[in-house]
Amino acid sequence: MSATDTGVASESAVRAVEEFLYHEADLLDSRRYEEWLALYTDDAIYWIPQGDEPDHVHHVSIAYDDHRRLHERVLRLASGFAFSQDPPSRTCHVVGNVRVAGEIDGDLDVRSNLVLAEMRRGVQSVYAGQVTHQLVPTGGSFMVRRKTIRLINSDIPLSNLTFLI
Amino acid sequence: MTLMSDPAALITNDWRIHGSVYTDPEIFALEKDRLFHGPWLYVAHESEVREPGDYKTTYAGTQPVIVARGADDGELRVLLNRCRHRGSMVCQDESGNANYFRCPYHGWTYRNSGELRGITYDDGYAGLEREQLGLVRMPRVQSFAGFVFASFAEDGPSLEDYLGNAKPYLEIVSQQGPGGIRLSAGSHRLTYKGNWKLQVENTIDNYHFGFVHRSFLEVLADRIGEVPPIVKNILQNPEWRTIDLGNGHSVHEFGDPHTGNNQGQLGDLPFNLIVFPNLCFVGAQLRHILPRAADRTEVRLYPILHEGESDEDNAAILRVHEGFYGPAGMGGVDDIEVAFDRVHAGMEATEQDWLIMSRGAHREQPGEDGTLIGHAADEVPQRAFYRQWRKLMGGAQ
Repeated sequence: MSATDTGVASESAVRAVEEFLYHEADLLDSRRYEEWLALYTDDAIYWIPQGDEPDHVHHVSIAYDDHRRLHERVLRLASGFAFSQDPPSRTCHVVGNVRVAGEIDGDLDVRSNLVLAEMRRGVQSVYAGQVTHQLVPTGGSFMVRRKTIRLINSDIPLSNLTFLI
Repeated sequence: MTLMSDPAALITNDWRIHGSVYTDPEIFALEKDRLFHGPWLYVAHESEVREPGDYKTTYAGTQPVIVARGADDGELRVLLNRCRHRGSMVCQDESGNANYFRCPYHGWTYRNSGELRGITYDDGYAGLEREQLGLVRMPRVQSFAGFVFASFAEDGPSLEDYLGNAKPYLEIVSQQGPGGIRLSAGSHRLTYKGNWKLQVENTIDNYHFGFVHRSFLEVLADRIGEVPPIVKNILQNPEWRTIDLGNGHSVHEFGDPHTGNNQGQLGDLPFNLIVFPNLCFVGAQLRHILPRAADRTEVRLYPILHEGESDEDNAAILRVHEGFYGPAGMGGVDDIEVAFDRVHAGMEATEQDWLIMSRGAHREQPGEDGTLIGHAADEVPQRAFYRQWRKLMGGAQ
């Protein structure tokens, strides 16, 4: 990454990050989950906190998945017996407000906003929130070491977040 | 409907249950009056309201309440969360610590013990009896093994008599950690369009596990490298058994209730327990079922953390819990889909409007203290629940 003294990433670096986030969103919306999982490092964490509580050790999360758990989710969704995704959710991810906030141990600290429309069994729902990606540069593209999805409705009673976000 | 005059007739002696038990708003209104206005209702665990002034908001059955530990005397009270003036909720936060609750509508102020402390601009009232206008208190509040229950009935059986054969199981839950337990991790909140009793019935229902949770069994097989033993145990292990504990309570044991386990990576409680009408224990969680309407239910799942164990060990409890339960869980949402949402949709077909709840009725065996024991996948817990339901809802037995 090349950054100026003001901490703002170069236009080309931001564009590369945006392309990557759009690619991830496209894989999710087309339910190409194995290809999606291949974007994640072996030590990846996929976290959907509940409420404003930032602590996954002392507070229950909607999901705090390591790579093993993500693999299990993908396996389950492909099993043909995941009834909560039968029929599957149709989703439309819209990713915006993308910026590179800085670096974490050589990884990029990327912030974005997500608006996600989901349609399942005749009901359309909208989820939205702030997303952070910790991206590992891999020579031309990236891998995800950590994704945190802070949904604005994470602490109300929910029914079904068994699709991947 | 004619059956309404005798709700007991909605359950036949050969264990058919009429669909209206799940769908009829009039039945729900009767339940509010007869199930949720008399007996003991779970409201909190003492770990949630430890210090003077601590409070949490929740529901006692169907009514919003504040569970508050007196700032002055340390006593636990359960107060209806409704201003006596014009009805606004006086407390919005899930939990906190406060000496007073102040209604935001017109500024009436209550002590956390419920007494009305202040009426704003009170020269506008002639003859209001302020000492009569505290937040309404539930007349009885008692704890057992750290679990706090309240009753709308001034008189009636003591909490211990009401819990009866469920008491030893609650004690075991309370001793899960070396220093006890605490509910300090918050709760998963779920909602579904369907009747609250569907969630109770599904809490101990080993019959469904191999079907609804087939995808989770495939996950487990991948995780442990062999066919998980759950279904085999359900069908063949004589130590896995269902027990009608009386008073509507029931349990499913995975062997010895002190040491058994479900071998299924759902959480480490050695049994599933239902405390009538709406408190359950399953996996590693306390499950509080909140009926909101005949066709709308909220469920709160509180992971049970172990006092005296490390943060790391308690975080592991949370991760196992999240793997199956909660809105992104790989198991519980399949229950919402199949056992609640699709049941609610299917029961719009009303030509033969009866459910069959007789599985294993012919092989229930009497146990000690009036209990009835059945096979792991028998509908013993469901019948335990509906025996009490029928009794409280009135009519002939």
